[in-house]
Amino acid sequence: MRTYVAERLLDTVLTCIAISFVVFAFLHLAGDPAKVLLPPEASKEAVADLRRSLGLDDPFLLQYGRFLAHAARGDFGDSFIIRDRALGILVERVPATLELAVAGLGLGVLIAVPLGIAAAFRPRTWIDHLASIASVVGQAVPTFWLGIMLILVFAVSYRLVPVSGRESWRSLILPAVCLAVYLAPVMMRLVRSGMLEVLRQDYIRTARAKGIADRGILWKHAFKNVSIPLVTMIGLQFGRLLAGTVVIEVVFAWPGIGWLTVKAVRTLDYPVVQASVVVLGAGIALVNLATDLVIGHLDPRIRHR
Amino acid sequence: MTRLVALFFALAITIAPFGHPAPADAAPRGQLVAALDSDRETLDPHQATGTIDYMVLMHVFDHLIARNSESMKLIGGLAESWKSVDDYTWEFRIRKGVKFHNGEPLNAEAVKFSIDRVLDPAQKSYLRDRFKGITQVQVTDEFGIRLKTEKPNPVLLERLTNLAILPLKYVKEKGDAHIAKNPVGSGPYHFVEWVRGQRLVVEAHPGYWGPEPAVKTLVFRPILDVGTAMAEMLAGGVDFIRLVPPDQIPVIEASGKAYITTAPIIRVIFLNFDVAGRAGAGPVQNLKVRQAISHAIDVDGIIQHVLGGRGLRAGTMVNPMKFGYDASIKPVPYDPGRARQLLAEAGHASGMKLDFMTYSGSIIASRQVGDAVAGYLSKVGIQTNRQHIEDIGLSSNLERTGKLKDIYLGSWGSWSVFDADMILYPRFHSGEAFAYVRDPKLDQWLDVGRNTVDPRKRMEVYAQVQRYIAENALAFPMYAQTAVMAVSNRITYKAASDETIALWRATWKP
Repeated sequence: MRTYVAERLLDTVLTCIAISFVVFAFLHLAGDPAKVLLPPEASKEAVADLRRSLGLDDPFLLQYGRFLAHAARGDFGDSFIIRDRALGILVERVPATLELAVAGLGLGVLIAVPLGIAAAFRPRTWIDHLASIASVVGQAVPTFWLGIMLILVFAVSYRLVPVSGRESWRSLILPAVCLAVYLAPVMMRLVRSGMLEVLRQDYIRTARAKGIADRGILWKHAFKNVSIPLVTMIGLQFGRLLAGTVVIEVVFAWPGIGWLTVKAVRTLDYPVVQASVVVLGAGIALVNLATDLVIGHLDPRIRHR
Repeated sequence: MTRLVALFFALAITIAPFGHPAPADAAPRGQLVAALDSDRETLDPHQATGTIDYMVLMHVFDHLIARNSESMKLIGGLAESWKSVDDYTWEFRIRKGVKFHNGEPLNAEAVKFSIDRVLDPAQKSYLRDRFKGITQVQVTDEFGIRLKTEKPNPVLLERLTNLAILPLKYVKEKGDAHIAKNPVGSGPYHFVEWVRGQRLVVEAHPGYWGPEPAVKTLVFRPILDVGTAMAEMLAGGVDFIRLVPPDQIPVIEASGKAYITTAPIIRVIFLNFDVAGRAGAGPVQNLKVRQAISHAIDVDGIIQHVLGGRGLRAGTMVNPMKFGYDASIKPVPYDPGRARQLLAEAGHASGMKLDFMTYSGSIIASRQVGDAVAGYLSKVGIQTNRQHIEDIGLSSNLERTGKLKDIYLGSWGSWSVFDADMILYPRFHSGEAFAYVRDPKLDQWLDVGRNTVDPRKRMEVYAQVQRYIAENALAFPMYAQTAVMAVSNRITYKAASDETIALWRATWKP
């Protein structure tokens, strides 16, 4: 077990290095940050000066090597745009991103699992139809539109929650609901089809014949099987959410990582882009590792392999 | 002669009124929340890059020169008087008894330190290029400072409205990184808290040298989506929105919660032509094509129907409120027939296709204005390859690096400097990042305009430049923008023509 985790951690490091190289190369093809940083009337000499001081004149591999050496010490340099440590700028937004990801995903699971199970347990009944209509609607509604509608109804008309920002736990409600509505349909369908599949199996029929109550069959025999793909999917979604949710962040003025990263890419802010790619890469790899460990715990066959 | 003019200026402005005019309220009270369309990047005024950073930091910092919010004339800020000793030398008397928020006295040493700091190449200040004509900063006595410039520098006073004065001891003790997060100035508000991406809080400073503001606490919140900002305003969470799109004006007016205040500003909206072919050869390098485009677009129609009448038709790139504006240059009349004829003469009778970029940012309703322009162009047979960029950082990057082919919808705010130089030089002088024109004649005139003190001579040379631009259709000036701000019914505030937000002027409604 310990070697397994160690191997996976090593994988993670190698993945991060590979990602950082690709991103580094692409950024350097994208343009000259010195020209973005200086005022329009800046002279050619000023641009050249800045390029020199940012180390942009050195050969590509030397720049990359220098970056790796610093990154290993957690130093990604100062943001070109925000005059502060790139890693710090990113890390200070991690709590907001995590809060939203956990709340949105948690709420999504709370909606998807009961609805999916109910739909599978009573196929072709009103609850099944309701669930499938809800999932189509949930997926079809554009997030930004839903966000604005939620704001208009619950924040402007009824004043139940704040419109935007991150001031108290109440600020989290609308963005989390918005995110959950977007995430729940896929998970709901996964649970429903998985459950339908399992419920048709012989051993379920046997269990029923033995007189085990519905609830016992449901949780002990059926759902446990569905939980493996579900956990895999939750892990993947969570990894994606770590990168932030640009639309939701913008609509709710939520200070997450997504918008910061997009802006950094657009303004060629190398240090922030690199820091975010490496931090996210590591985060996603860790989530994947955790997912695998949870699945191993749920499914002894995987553990013993 | 130049001496005489300088002396006149010196006398005229010696008795300068206060920088921040007076609201008549008693002690500051209450809290006001302002929505901003972007987040701050640093709170060090010498490192800030955006106009909006400058607007926000004006609440915390003072400048030698300020501007009257009504007349837009330069008035004393920290300088109570100034005079030009000769064409190369300016002398300033600094207001006595002013203290920074940390108690440090504000004197000539602090002013010298601040100017030197901007000029120091190691600081990499965004402002450096605007002040590098200054060759020497001399302290003459405790409250006297003398600036020497390499060449006569008529725009220096205007530009000094952008140079914040910092406390010398505090900056030296704490270091640059600390200042960027914990600014200390001498302005009407002192810094309280900054949570990046969430809020910046400032509070009225007791003992401010100017008139006391009416509002005690100001909270600046970055809200990138204007729909969200509008919802906040309707819910009472926000009291001030800077850029209100035309279609949202009726919403504000009908809300019963807020009102609209407008002011003509010096930002000019125009079509840029890649005359020099920086992004490659194209049809707009032909004068007739540029003239055809200028005749093809009904700008008055756009102002009327897209902007709800809020905009001032412009015949020249220089805003009428600026020094150097030539009123004799009339806008190109809308005449699609003439446009088609010119296109035929240019050999494009069967039509043509142009790249056309627009971007979101400082241009109100830029997408809609761009659609209208494309529509008018297609009527005379010019098809456009439209591209709309949502991000101002990206579009400005493309613009500076000469990547925008054919035409784009541009805007120029001149950093609230009311002088022709601040638009004509960066946009029409060879080698400037934003200039898509290469013309030695223009270069020569623009250099004269930049380095001559005599206002009459400058007026003449700028008139010449504007005529030349019009005759050669080097750009198509469309209109001067109107600032449209939404303000909560709780307060009284009037938009000003320098495009700033100056909430120390806001007063509570009874």
